[in-house]
Amino acid sequence: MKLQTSITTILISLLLIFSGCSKDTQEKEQTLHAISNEVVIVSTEEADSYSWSQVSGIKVILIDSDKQSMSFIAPDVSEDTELMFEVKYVITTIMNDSSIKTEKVKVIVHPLEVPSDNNDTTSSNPLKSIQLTISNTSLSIDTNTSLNAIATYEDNTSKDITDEVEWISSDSNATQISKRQLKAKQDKNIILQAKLNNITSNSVALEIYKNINGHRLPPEPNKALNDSTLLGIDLNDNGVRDDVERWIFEEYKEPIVQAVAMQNARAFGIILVEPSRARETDKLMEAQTDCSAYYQLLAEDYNDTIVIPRGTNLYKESRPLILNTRERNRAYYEYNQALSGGIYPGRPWDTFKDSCDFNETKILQGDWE
Amino acid sequence: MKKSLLVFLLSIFSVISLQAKADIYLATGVLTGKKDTDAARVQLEIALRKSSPEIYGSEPFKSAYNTTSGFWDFIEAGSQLFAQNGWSMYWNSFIDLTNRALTQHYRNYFENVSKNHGIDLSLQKENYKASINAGNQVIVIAHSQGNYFTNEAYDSLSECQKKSFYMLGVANPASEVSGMDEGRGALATLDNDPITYVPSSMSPNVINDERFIIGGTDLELMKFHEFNYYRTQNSVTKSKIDTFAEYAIQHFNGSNPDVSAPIHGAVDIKLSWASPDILMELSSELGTKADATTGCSTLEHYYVENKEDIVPGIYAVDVSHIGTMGDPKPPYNVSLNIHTPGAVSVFDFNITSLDMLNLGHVADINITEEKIAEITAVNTGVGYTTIKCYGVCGNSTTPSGTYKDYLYSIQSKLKQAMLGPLSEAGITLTQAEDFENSLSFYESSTSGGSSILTSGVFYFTQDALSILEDDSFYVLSVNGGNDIDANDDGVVDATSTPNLGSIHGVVDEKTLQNENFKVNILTEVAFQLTKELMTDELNATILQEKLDDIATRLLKEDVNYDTKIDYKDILAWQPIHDKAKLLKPYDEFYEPVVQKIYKDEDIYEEAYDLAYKPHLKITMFNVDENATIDTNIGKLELSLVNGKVSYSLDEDNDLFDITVDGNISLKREALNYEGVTSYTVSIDAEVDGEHYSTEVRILVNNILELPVLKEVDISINENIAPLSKIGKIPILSSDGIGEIVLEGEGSELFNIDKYGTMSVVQNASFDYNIKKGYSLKAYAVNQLGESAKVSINILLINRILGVIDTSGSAYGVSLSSDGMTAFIADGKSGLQIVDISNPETPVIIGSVDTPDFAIKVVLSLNEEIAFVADQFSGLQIIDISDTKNPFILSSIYTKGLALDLVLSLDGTKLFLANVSNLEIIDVSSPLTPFTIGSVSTEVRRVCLSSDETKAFTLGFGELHIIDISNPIALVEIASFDNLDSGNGVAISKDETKIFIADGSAGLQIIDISNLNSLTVAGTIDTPGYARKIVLSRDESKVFIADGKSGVQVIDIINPVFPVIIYSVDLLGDVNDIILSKDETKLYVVDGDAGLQIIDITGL
Repeated sequence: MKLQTSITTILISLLLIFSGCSKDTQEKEQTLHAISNEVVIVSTEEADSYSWSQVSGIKVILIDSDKQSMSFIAPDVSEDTELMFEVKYVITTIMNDSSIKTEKVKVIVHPLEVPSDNNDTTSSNPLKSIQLTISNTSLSIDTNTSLNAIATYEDNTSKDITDEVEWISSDSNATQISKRQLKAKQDKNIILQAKLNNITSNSVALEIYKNINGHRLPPEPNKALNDSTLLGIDLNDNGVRDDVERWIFEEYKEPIVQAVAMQNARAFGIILVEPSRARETDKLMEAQTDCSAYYQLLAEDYNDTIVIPRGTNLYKESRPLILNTRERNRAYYEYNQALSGGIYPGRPWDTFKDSCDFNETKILQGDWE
Repeated sequence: MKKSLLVFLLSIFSVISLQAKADIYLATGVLTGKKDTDAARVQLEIALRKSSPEIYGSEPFKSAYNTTSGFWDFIEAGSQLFAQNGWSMYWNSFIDLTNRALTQHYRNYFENVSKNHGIDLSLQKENYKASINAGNQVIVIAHSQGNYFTNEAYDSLSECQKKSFYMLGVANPASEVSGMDEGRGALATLDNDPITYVPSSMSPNVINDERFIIGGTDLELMKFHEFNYYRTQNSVTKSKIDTFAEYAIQHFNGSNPDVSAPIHGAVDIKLSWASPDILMELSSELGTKADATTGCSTLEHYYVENKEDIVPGIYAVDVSHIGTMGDPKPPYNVSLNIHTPGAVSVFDFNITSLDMLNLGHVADINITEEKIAEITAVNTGVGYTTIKCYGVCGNSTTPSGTYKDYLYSIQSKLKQAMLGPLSEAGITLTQAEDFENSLSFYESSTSGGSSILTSGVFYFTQDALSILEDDSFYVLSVNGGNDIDANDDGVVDATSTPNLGSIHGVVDEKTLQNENFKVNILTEVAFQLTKELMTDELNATILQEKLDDIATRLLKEDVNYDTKIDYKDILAWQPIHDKAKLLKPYDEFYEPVVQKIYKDEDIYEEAYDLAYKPHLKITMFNVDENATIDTNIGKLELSLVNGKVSYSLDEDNDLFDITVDGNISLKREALNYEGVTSYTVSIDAEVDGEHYSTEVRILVNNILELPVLKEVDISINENIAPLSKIGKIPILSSDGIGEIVLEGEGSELFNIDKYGTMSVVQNASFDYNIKKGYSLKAYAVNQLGESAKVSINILLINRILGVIDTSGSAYGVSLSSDGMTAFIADGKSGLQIVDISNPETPVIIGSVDTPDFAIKVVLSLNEEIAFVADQFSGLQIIDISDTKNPFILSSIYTKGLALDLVLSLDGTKLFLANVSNLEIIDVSSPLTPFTIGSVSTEVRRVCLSSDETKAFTLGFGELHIIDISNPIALVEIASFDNLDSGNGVAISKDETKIFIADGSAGLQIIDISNLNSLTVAGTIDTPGYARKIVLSRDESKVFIADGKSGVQVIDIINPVFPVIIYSVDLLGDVNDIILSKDETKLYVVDGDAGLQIIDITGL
């Protein structure tokens, strides 16, 4: 069911001429207008893949940020307020060349001045509006939150109608609603409304994410965009590509193993940027090698626990995903080339644990900051 | 297929002593990433070392990583497989994919790019060579293409270096394994490894019987090439890899027994050089030459094995270049290390030309016999031990042997420019006749670096030396540079001193050709004084004579040890070692000249004065204290003088006389070592109307005399603790006192040391009612005999009026204003109230327990309330209106540990120290106390200024002064953090001084008259641990609760020199004290001993 509320739909016209396989980013900026509390849908030109992000302004939850049309709920403001968004998208020409484009969208949110009209005329004390509140709008999968829908009638009386309303979701598969409880099922952002007698409530955006061992996973990135650059997409800015990060946390169960694998991915991210500086950046790779060896082969000698099973090769297992494009392979080859001809002494075993770039105690307590 | 099979005859149970260090490498090739190489290397290292730690030591293994330039292009050009299969599998399955493409064409290509890899292997080659040259063994586990690279590195080694190189070829595509024929190489290649398809590769030597066991088939060919498979999944190759290093170490040590025995003696002189292609020779006058250890001629070694074989002397060390092999490339890195006991001197050379390698006389080892020590048996109480007693030993020790010790000085004899060493200075060489026309024919620069020994060094090429004319003189100019040791202390300065000027050395042709020398401040002086001779008409003989004459005017001692002083001594002179050999003191006469050179100022006049101006040196003489009139004390000498000299001294000097020819004598018999130990006399010397002045220092020699003691009266308590110190006999003359003897009835009860300090013996017992004192005699003994005897009167006193034990540990005490009642903070027993109306029979009349630990008590103004600091239970407010039935009225928990209290003068506020805060508590209503302000500061004790605008607090070792004029906004205004512990505090009435009972440091008096700068006004240590302090009303004395040493009474009339005037030894551990109003009694709480009342009348 479509969301039934005040919706502004904006199509950004892109009058860009793409040429060949150029990777040059062309930027254009549009200014749009919206009213507080309404669902705003912003669209861009048709392309192969999209990635929307918010650049500035009051933080809003983006729905369908990997679609041609992204939506969000305009925040409640008391004066005109600017929000800035950016969309990157890939267009492939008939010559099979691809091009990344960037578009900026400024949305000016105006205060809501006129209350909603009451469309319900069938009752002697007709329903005037529904106010939906959700106790927690940021949920990890398999957690619950309470819903509360309060009806306001023409005579200004109000009533809890949570058990009576119909629920409208931008993606009904992402949540499961039972009575007053909403359970998060899929990690994606959605918009939720309540409806009774043709009156729909305000929209509430919900942010649903995966949480593994206390670590909040970033959303699955758009593959084409993620693979269009060496470093890919890293929304949570922790130095690990989002698709790799998700893979690591889903592949390995032990927090320390996850942390060692993350260190490996982080080191990869750095060496690939400037392969020619390999003699410098390889220290990070060497540190990860030592750290990994500690938890796989040495920990018991230092009264710690072996957590990486023998035969497991974190580095090799994650490499196909990390180096999943020709460009990444090329950069990795250049990195190896730059190291060629060198002698690289190992380090004393008692320094191996210090080579880990994470705090073991904090990780085990679920603190990944 | 099988070409050869090496069988290792290993006994894995044999114990191998790792005699030389083994450097173990894992070498890989193009098909392995650096990360894979490191991971495999770490796993190999952990596996091997865990299995045999005694063999592999602790040296980490190393990765020798290689890939092949251009291989990427081969991948892209040669196959669409990656595009078809996805790049994500490239690094994991590349070899499989390559295998599918391994047509003969690709096999040939693979071998070609491997051999012509286009990468620079010089780093790896140098690394291997450096390991071997350092006497180490190199063991390389080479995998796949790493075999090509390892073979290539092996080929670059000299024949002797190859003997230290071992290699295991794993999955070898190459046609050989280096060193295999000599037993230093081995092969491990599986028969189903596709690498065997590479043309000309060695035949495999392991049949893979396990090819079907571990989930594989022959179709997975490239799996059987991976190092990981070889190392972990095939038992035969695993064994070969895991035992090769062990085999190599055993083989190497067995075939090179000398390697295990490098001689390390008391003195080691080692010359080493990096390139095996040059041949160097070390020659040393000290030590024995060691045989070459490995046969690789990159090390020459002299040694003296035992310290006992060292003989003092000066020993030359020479370095020469005796030939080359092959085509050695500069730079040539040569290092000379001279180890002497406790020190090492390093000469590192980076030489750019072969003809400069002949370094010649590089260093002198100067060994002097510095001290004769006596080895003395000393009774330590638990047995005898031996100590080395340097110089003059005490009389009480018994020499039992002699022991030689030496000073070692390593002097650089290189050609060197030095004010201090002048780093990176320009040098030019000019024939003396051409100097005025600036026609130099050679230009170079001195060496840089930060070594006193080798910075500032310069060399001459053979070309330059070949054009020198026989018997000619040359001027070497040193321009600019940086002095790296301007203060000549032998330590490189943190910041070098730029030299804007020049120094010169006039050097004859033979010296340039054959000897090393220094260009220094003396050569510059000589140059300044001879440069006028350097014309077309230069007469070499006259120049030489003048240079030699200048040498005699600058130096008073031979520098180059040829038993005469001439210009060669100037060329050998070094500021670090030879300043004392100058006729005129360096700091006074030469240093200002050096400073002018730094600034590029003309120094001709100074040079002239240095050589020709007379100098009356500062002299020191000795005279005995009992010398008679006219005793000759010494004679002055004026250097560089030809004319007549007339000496005189101060007219008002009535003790010494001087003759016109410089003899100093004694005018009258008035020298007394115990009075004045030295005199300084000003002397004037007149030469041809010119006056030169100096000071003569006359030291009075002590002549042994009989000691002199002074009588003394000492008072002690009858219950004094065993071994307590009771006083000190004044010693008027202590000349060589060996002991002081007590005699008389009761003398056995006392000890006295040779410094006059008296104490009671362990089992002494005194009873005031039986004996009131002891009249003893004391005399001192030295080598002359016994001193006159003096009287020592020891009086017994009994000042303890009364004692009452309390049930807890008494920590704090307050008195009622009428002096009839004492209130004791009694630790875990709370508040104890004691009737002290009769001091001889104090009685506990009431008590109330507090929740925690009562440590301090103060009374309200009306004395109906006691405020108790109760540690973790904060402030307890106790109703004491009925002293027999006290009860807790209220309490307030403070933030920390309540330790100390002070009540404001109006009785409404309490200032409470709780360790982490100073709190102000409103107690105007004792039922409802409340905190009105606090300041975060480390505070355990507190006292207030008289106007209550300032609080003086003690933290842990810190004094803080806090402005408390606004109780809700307390501000620290000063602090002093140099206390020991800071336990008790009192303030003078004029608020200029703080008196602190400072734990182990005793009494500290802090001047606080200037709050911006708190300073220590006076201090005196006390025997015990100073805990609390009370100031007498007239501020002439302080009373200190001194822990286990009782109470100390200290005279502070002169606060700069406080003096302990009385000590009261008590039972227990004194925690707090308080004076009676009339100051005739002291109330002491004494820990577990309770309350003691002390009579202090007359103190």
